[in-house]
Amino acid sequence: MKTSLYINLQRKIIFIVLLVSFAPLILLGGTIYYQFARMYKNKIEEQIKYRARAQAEAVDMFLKERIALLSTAAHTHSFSDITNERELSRILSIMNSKGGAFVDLGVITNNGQQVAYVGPYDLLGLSYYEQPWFGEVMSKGVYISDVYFGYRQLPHFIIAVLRQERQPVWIMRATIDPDLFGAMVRSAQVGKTGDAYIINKAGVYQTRPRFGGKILSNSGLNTSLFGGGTTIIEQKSGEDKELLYAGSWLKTPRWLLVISQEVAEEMEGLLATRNMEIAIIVFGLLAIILTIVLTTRLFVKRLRESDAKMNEMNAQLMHLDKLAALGKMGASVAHEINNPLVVVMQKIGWMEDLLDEEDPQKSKNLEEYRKTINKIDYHLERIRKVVHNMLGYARKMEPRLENVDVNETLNQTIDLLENYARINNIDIQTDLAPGVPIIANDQAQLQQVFLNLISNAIDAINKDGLIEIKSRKIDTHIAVTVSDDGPGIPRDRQGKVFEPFFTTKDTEKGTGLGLWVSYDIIKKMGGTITVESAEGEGTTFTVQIPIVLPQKE
Amino acid sequence: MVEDLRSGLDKNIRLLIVDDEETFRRTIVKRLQKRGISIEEAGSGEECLSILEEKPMDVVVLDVKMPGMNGIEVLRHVKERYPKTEVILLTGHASTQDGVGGIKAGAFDYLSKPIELEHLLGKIKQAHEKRVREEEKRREAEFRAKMEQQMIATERLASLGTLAAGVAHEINNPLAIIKESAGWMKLILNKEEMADIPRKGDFEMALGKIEKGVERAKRITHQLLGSVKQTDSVCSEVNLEELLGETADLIHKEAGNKNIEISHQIDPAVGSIWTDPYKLRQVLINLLTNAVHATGSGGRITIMIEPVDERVAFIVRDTGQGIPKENLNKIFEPFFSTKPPGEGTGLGLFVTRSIVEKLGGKIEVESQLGKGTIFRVQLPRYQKIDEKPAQNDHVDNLKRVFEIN
Amino acid sequence: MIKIPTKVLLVDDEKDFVEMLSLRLQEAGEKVSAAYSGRECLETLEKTRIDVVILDIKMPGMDGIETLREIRKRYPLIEVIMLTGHGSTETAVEGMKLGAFDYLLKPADFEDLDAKLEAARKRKDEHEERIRKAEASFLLRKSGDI
Repeated sequence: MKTSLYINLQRKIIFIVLLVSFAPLILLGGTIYYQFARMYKNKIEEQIKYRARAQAEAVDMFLKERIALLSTAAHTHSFSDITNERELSRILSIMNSKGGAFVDLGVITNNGQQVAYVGPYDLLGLSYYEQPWFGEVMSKGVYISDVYFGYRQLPHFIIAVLRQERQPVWIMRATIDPDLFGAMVRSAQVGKTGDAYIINKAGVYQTRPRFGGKILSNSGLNTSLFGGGTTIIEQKSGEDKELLYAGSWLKTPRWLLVISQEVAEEMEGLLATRNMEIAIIVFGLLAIILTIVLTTRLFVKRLRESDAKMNEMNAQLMHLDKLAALGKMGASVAHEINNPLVVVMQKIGWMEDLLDEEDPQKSKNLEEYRKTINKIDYHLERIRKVVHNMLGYARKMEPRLENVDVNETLNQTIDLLENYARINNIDIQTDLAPGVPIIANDQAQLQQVFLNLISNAIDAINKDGLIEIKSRKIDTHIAVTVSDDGPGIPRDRQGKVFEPFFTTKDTEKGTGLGLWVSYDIIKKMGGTITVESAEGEGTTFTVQIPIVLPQKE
Repeated sequence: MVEDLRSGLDKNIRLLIVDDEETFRRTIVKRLQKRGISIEEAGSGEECLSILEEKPMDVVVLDVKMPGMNGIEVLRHVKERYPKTEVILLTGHASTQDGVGGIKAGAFDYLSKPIELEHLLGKIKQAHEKRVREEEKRREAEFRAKMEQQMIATERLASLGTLAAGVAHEINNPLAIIKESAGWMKLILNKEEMADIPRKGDFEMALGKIEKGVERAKRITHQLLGSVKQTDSVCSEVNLEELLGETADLIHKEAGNKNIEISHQIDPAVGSIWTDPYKLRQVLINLLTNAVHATGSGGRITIMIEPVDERVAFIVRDTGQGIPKENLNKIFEPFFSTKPPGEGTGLGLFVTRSIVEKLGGKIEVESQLGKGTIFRVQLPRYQKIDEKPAQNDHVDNLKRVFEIN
Repeated sequence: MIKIPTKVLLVDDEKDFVEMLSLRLQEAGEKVSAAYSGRECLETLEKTRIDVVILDIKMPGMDGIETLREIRKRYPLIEVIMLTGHGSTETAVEGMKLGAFDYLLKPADFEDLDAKLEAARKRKDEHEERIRKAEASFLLRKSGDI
């Protein structure tokens, strides 16, 4: 019942303290992490956005340069020059030496016929009239195609410019090296999962992406999600990975430069931070739990001990009260018993007188009578002595100074306890020095001390033993020793015997106050009281009472 | 007024200024009176001592240089006769020597003339505070000493109590012998050969008286032995009317001696209460004995029993001298007693409270000095069978804090 | 009718008590032996036939309870009446549990004591009677078998 109460208390304390200390820690950790993650993500997004824009600009620049190169070549040469294959090949090599990336060059007349061509493919004489881009070039003057297969059956795209200063107009067309272009775009790839590619409006790859697809296959991206400028979207990839896409529209062709990154990789730094934070928090929590559990246990244990002590003390005080009430009653009994005893004494005395009147020779019965009366007398005296001792002890309550014979006081005290000792087969031997002077002291209190010491000795022995009581005059003190041959007091408890409520007896016997009170009394008299004990051999209490001689009247 | 607040001097302070220069003295007196502080004055050391003989003073402001008895001498006298009185010395400009000598002789401090009034006031205040502090310390020590004395006395009774059973034995054995002896003598007396002794009747009478005396003595010791027996805690329905009657009977004699009227009333709405009748009786006896002790001759004690929610309140009201406020929280402490040592155990109220708490109730006290005291005990109507162990305040408080039911 | 004396053993460390009570009991027609300690009591029981022991509980040396235990062990037929001048009823209760016939507080009424003595004696006689009968029937049965 009681144990569960303490366990319950302990649980509640631990629970509440843990809650109180966990909640802010976790809340704080969470908030900091959340804020940090947001900032981190923002930064990552900014970065990827920036990269996308920068790369788009670079690609734009690249294409613009190609157009410019092509346009310059077209406008600085006459049709006849340019249709000369050697000249055209020279132009191509010049152009390639100035930045290059051109695979071939071709000149196409206004009816779509390719009239001159240099490059690795055999495309001379082919007609492009039917090609969709042909019309575009004719109407707009400059054209960059999407990637397509064309006659060569390889994915590529072309740039075409229209020379229209003089009639008839003609077109100069160049194929951009798809590998080079692709490599340029891919230069924006970072990390293990970073990707950079270009898709057209329909979401078709214009350059080969690093992962998940060939050129001209569909990227699966919905380009309408990308608005003007640079846009960030987050989307699941085919393999169920969270991907971050930054898309930036190119200026010339309606192509979208896309830079993608796996969120997980981008967040790797954050993840590390988070792990570290979690580790710190977990460690902290463990430390807190440990500390709280240990301290609470200690606390509850202390509480329990002090409660037990308090309860023990209360019990002892209650017992003390009971004993005191009994003592009071005992005193009144001793007092009351005097009356009938006086009657008995009187009658016995009278009978003695009567016997004297009788004829002594009358019978042997009278002799018997005399003997019996003597016996009664003797036992009456016994009772009288007990009552007297008891009353003597009970009466004096107010402290007062009087002339005290220590030996006499010891004898009186022994009288009080002799029968108690005898019943338990304990012999009390005295060795009282005859030269002990009469001192001015409080006889009742001194007797109280002796009573405590001797009855303690009796209780310590319990049964069958010897108590030795000595008195000596030593310089300015009277030393009284009470030794028993009981079990002794363990060394670690010897220092505690004079503490209040210390008792080795069961509560029924002692009050736990006897030695403490004795200590107090003797201390007030200016004396000392000490204990010496060896386990298994016995205990000796020594009281030193300062000799204060009574003032002569 | 403002200045008073600043100096913070107690208006009831008993002050005396001793100086032979009348103008100086008068100025100080007047200026202090302006602040509402009254101060006695003396023109010489001799006058000072004669004033002190009649009126005790808290602080004496004393000039050192005076014709006749000089200040240091007066100081010695004062310290010797009234050690509790604090003395502040006023010395001339250059005579710090006097001041130091004064401190050695037990002065609180010394000030050199000319003095600033605020400075003087400050010193007086300090001196007074020291006195008050020492007074408190002394009272505390007195209280402790009294408590210790009480404890010693109670322990003495208790040690007597431990002897009681043994003492009964020591009395009973000789009593038994006397009894058998008397019986034997009676037997002989009735024998034929004794038939003709002249004082046979007297012998018979004497033996009868002896047997009766022994019988009485035996009853007394057996009564003591009977009270040694422990009573186990048992709960039952308590007849309150009967219980009150019993307890009132027990203290009737003592109350009658002091001409104290005891009345009681039980609210019929109380109904019944289940508790330990012996313990409840002990509680009531303790409270009533206390009340009788506290009440002067011709006073009145009222006992009321009334219902309070699910509990029953026992109220013991007396018209005694009341309990001073500073003692109200001490009365339940062990060894606190206002009775002379040996009369009470100093444990009565402590035990009462312990019992009440064990019974699951609480006890409160209310007192007005000069008018009387009210003890109010509240007990649950039903004492639970599985008696909870007595909890002490720690656990209770903690339970409250953590709301453990 | 002639009274058959009960053989009583009186055990108490109070010599005067033993002496006075013996005188009275003898006068009342009993046969009284005396012992002044537990050990002496046991010695006497070894040598003498006793019906009832009147035993003081509190004695130095071997106390009443120990003595009682020994008596019950060695002589289960002997009845024991305990006497105590001491307060503790526990020892009395313990004695009753150990099989004492009854107990009396000192100083006891002689009439009380005498009545208890008679009752104890009667019980002892009944016990013995029963045992005798049992033995007899046992013997009878045995002879019947033959």
